[in-house]
Amino acid sequence: MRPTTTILSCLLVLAACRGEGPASPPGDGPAQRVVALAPNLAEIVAYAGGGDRLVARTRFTDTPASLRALPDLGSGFEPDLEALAALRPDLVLMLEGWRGGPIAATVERLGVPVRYLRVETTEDIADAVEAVGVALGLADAPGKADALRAAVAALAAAPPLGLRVLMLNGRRPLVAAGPGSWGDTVLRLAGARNALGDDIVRYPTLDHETVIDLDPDAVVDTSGYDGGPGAVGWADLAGVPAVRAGRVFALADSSLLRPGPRVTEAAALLRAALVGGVPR
Amino acid sequence: MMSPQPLLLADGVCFAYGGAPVLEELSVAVHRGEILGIIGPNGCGKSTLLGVLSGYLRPDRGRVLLAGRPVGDYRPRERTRLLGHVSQRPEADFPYRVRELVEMGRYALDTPGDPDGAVAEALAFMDLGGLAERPITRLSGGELQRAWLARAWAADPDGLLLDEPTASLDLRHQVRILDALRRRVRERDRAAVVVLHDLNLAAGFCDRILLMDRGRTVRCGAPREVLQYPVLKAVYGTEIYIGLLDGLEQLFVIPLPEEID
Amino acid sequence: MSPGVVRALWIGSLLLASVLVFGLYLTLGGRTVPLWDLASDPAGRFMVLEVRLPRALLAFLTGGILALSGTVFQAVLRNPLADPYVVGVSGGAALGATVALALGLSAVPLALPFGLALGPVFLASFLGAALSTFLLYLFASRRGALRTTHLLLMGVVFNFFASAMIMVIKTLVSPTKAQEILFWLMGTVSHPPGPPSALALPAVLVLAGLGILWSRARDLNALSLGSRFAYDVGVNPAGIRRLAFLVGSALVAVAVSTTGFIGFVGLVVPHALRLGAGPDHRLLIPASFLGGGVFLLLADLLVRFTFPLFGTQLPVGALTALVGGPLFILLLSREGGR
Repeated sequence: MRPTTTILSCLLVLAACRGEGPASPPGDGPAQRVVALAPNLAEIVAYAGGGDRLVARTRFTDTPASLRALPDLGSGFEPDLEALAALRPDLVLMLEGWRGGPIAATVERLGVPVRYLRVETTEDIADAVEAVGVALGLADAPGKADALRAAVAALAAAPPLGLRVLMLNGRRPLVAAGPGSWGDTVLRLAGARNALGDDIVRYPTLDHETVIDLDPDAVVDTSGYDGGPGAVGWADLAGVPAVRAGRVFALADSSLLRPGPRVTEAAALLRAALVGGVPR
Repeated sequence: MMSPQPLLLADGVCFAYGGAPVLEELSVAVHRGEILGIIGPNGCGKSTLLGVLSGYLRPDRGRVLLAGRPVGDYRPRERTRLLGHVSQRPEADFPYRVRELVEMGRYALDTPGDPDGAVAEALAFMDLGGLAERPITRLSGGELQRAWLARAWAADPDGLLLDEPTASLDLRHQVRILDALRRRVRERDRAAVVVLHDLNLAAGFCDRILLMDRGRTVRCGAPREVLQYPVLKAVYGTEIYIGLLDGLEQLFVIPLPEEID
Repeated sequence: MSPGVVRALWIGSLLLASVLVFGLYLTLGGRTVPLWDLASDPAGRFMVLEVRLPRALLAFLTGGILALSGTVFQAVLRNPLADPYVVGVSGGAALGATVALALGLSAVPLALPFGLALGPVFLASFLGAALSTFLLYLFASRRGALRTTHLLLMGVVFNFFASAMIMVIKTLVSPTKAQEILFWLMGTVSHPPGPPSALALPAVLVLAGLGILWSRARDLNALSLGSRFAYDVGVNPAGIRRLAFLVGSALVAVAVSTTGFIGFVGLVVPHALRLGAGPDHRLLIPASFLGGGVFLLLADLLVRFTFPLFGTQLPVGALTALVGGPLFILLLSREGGR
């Protein structure tokens, strides 16, 4: 039985060009014991209404707060597979990018049904909510997915702020959110434009001079460093006009870093900060 | 010809390396105006003795006096002016030119360059004139040995400790060096201690010979007293023939193959 | 031509090269700022003095330190292939920095007088370097004298140990932190610790170290030919070895704590200069300092210039490897051919 299942799943993988197909067909009936091997996947499950079906979490899964009580399998990159197996899950969710990797291979060999979800764009997230809803038999999921789509559309339709914003994901070195990155997505939903042009990699490393030349209207720092223009911590960008004017915002909320259902909250947070002009 | 106070005096020196004794109760005096040769089987402690005499190695027991003072009491430059040493196997890791190497022999004298031509003289004497600008990393074994000797020669200390200086040299250079050494020792009232593996060179050029075996003195004295059949046979364990060159009053020693009796 | 004149010519040329490269570095960039016009150009003045100059100084000093300590360690270890990281001091520095980053101490640099801003990471790194220097000295000495083979071995062991600990720490922290640690280790001169005045004190200390080593250049010559040889020419081998090790380690500690690991400078520059200018440390010491400074400054200039090409700023250590690697192979092949 097992080899046939594997061949079947391989064929299904090849057939699923959107990369959302299951690696192995789900068991009969909705999954009851689910493990999500990434924090944003856990958020998606909870958002879809299946939070109570999760039986374990990875180390950095902290939202919603109810999930914190779940047993910790460690880092998503190297989860404790024995503990995972001992929990006898009937569905494991992994990020699409991990398909074919060593963790995926081992989990699949455990005989547990695995599902790969791509969550890079807002559309991906909505689709993932729906897919999870199907796999777990959650009646509310489609509605939630549509609600998310509507909220995103509403944000996209809001009047643009007319601001060029540079979002920094790291301070030493200066790593920025470039086109195609999650930070870029949030920026645009918040009504801002990315100060970085298109001629750049997704997460470019910058230096002081480059940022001065970019001359963004505002700088957003998601790295979690102590912010505020008065602190010495911004001395390394002292030449940037936005920094001198105090238009720097330290927003370290994980929703700005994690593609997930809180995207609308992230965008709203960012927009409020940029409009209010008051650095947090 | 030989001054009363020895330039170098080793008194009851004992040295062990990692628990194994290398020198045991060894005493020897070296006077100005003489060449002392040190001979003995491999591993009998000749190089170690030179190390102790130069002060580089500290004996576990006993003491070494240089011009009446313990050798360890001297400041490095002072000591180098009085006592020089040349290693058995020089190593050249960096491409200093031969001239630069020989000039290092003059460090202790604090006279930069070569004001009195000692460096040039040493280079010429060791037949290194043409090689003066060559990096030492590109010298043959014999040339390297000569370069090292030239360094000590240019420094011209009162006493010179040479560890197998003739090992890599051809016959011509062997004779030249020992001959010149003897002349310098006589003319400038220097002293020299030379470790030799070649018993004939020892016989021909040394005023006294110290024969060592397993870290101890077997015999010390004029060549005739040391180079005797029963003594050498006992120490080296081979058949030898000892003869005397008529007219030159010089001994020669020939090892014999075992079959001939 | 006397050796003294040759030395003066070499050092003069390298000083000139340094000035030229500095000039290029300060002038060129996203905006070309003509240096002679600075008085009437406040924006340009700011760019040159507050943005480019600190970075240029950092790059030059770091490159100089790395090449100088490479030269010195090569003499101490009697091995022309030694680099500044071989003695293991840098392992301690890296470990210190990694621990600090893992604990989240990278947040706010401490504001000190003279406009200096020393990050906690720098301090932790320097402490780690100091600790490993002390331990290395302890373990590699016998009867108060450093033993060369032991030093080399202990250095290798220390570096392995530090790498292992760093790997452990990287698996324990969040992916963002792990990324941060990786970036720190990769080496960058893009983040000077403050305005140019902040580098004044470290520069003075580095120059003092250079001066000390230069004054003992002849002793280093002797040491490089073996401790027996050094003893025979009137140099105390234990003393010069200890001094060279301590000063060299201090310099490496400063470099690694400030800029992370930048490879190849400490290996290629001394080697190339030794082939060109000879192994005499009276020339090699100042020359390698200047040569290293010029090399790293040029590499960083290249980093800034390749930004539009790659769409991101490459770590300067990658460029020194890309340039230094083939260069080193070329040097080795020409050496062997002779």
